Amino acid sequence: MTETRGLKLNAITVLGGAIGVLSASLPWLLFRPNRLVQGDALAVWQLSGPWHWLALVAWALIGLSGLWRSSLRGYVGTALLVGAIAAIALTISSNAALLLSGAGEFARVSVSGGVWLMLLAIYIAAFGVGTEMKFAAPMVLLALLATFVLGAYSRLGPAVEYAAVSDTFFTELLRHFALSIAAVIVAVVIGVPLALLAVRNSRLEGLVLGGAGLLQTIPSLALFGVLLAPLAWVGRSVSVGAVLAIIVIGALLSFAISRLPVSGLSGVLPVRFALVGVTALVALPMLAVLIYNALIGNLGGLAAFVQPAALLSSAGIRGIGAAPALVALTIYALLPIVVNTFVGMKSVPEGVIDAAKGMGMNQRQVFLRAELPIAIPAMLTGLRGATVLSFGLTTVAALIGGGGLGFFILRGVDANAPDLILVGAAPIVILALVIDALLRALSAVVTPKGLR
Amino acid sequence: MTLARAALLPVLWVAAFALFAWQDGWRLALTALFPNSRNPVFERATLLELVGQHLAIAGLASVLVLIVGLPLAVWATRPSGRPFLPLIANTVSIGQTFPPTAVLFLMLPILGFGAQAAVLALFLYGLLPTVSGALQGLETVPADALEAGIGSGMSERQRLLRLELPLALPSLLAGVRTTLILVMATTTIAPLVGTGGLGVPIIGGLGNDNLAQVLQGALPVAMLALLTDYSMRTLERRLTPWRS
Repeated sequence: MTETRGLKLNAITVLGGAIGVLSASLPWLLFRPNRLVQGDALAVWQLSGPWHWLALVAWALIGLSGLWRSSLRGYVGTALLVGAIAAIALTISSNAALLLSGAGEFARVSVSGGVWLMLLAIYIAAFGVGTEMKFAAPMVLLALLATFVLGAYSRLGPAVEYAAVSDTFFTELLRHFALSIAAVIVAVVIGVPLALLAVRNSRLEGLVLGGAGLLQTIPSLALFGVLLAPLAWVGRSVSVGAVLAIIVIGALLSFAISRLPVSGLSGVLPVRFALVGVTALVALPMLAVLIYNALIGNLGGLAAFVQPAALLSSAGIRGIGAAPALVALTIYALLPIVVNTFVGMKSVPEGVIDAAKGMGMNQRQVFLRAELPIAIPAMLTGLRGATVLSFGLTTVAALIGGGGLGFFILRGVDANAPDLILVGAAPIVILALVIDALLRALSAVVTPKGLR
Repeated sequence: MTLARAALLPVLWVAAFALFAWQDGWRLALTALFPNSRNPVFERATLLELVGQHLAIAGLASVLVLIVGLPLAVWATRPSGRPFLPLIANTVSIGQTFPPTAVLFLMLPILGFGAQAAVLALFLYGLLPTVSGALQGLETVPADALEAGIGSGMSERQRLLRLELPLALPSLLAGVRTTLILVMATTTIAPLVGTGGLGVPIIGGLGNDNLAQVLQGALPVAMLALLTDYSMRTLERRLTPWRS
């Protein structure tokens, strides 16, 4: 890669630099003396200190570096980008300090359109430079993280709002995780067997895949809303013992039917599936709430499950709260898991199964040693999809009293405080990306060597 | 079979709208279901008006997605736009990891409150599945098919219109379908950022514990989403008959 004459211009870097320069056309900071007024948007020339000019110069140079036909431009571009990030951070911190000094405790400084545009420019430029310099993206991430850790943004509105709610932040964060993880666990418990059944039985295939797809289509808020009334009714009128009895009887009956001499007959199969389905439907909210309570360490909620006479509402299954959120989230998490397990199992070549059988493996061994390792990458893709999906959808749970990070978004909307909205929304987006990356890494590790 | 499906479609849509327009029917049903509720029906607007607002917001955002997204995907796979293809492909794939609801609120401090801001946010997020589907379709056109096109003397434009786009159609339409469903669903949450639509009775009802109004908003939204999905799937079968 030493030929420099053939080097073309890097259009992406040029675009990034141009957007960076263009950010000067929008205000960079917003100053609000209190929550009731609109506030003043501060354009670039209204800011103080040399740093914002240096940032703009850096953006111009980044754009030009994309035109420079030298193999050095990757390094120069990376250095300029890190420099631009430092200059922006210094602009923000010095101006925020200046604006807030003596402005009272309700005054807020927030970043405005220009800075958001520069964030886009950083992404684009880092991508462009990254095509020539492998470490550009990590360096940029490190620089952003460093400015954050060093406190460059600690006087901005979202940081101030966060400080005000920091004691409840981790409670809600834990709830957010607990809701989405409990839903994914239940979806795996239900979805994987369903998919395995569908693989073996072509008549079930359409029903299972179609059903999961149909449920997925329903908007989350609508599903939450539709579930409220029935769950409220169930919580008021059904006792814990009744549900446990239904689950036990359902499980026993379906087991008994499977042992009957007539179990192979075509008429028996639908009965068995209906029985298993009803049992699962009853067990689903119960299991989800149980796991959720265990995850957030709510021992009181767990204790209610061993009192058969207690109503379900005392165990947390009500119209409002975690239960409808958990049921809806489980339903959404089902599709990625069912579809990917199904696809994974279908992708196992017939020859592999034949070979395994030929080696004398029994059905169980064929499944565990031949089919499962091949299907696992697809199943993990499903798990990743389900986790990221339910982590995002949990945002809506706050609307039905389920808590989670959406709580801060709603409070911010009510109080007309965009900074507080960011305290809820930004972690959701960032964590969704982190979860996605982690599960991607996990599935790379788990994938058998032969399949990589 | 396909003909029956296609004939069923307008019937279903007309039936759905007749149901939305039947305000008295909703009042009767919801009063019967929730005898204790004092206002079982949303009164500030008729259900049909709410449906109209909902479809206007979601429809505008979706039309913008089609107008901008499809040309963007085509441009990114032409020689003039190809330098930007990695950037666009990477952006749509990362972007789809972002939860749509969180994005709607993340945009709020940037775009502000109101219907315009909501449409813009819905449009930006809606771009992702459409562009990603179209790119996937255009990028997986078999090389032999392209060479055959060149060999039979097709111009670049003819290759695009007669070869690449038809072959990309299944994946492109699947992307558009995802966008439509996503936009329709996210519009339900948009009243929180200051719009109208079917989310208004849902969010209002959740706020003052009025489950009847929640249901009055939730059922039509679910119906609209399912109908849209069904319509798009019928269209997909219609336009790509060679696949089934």
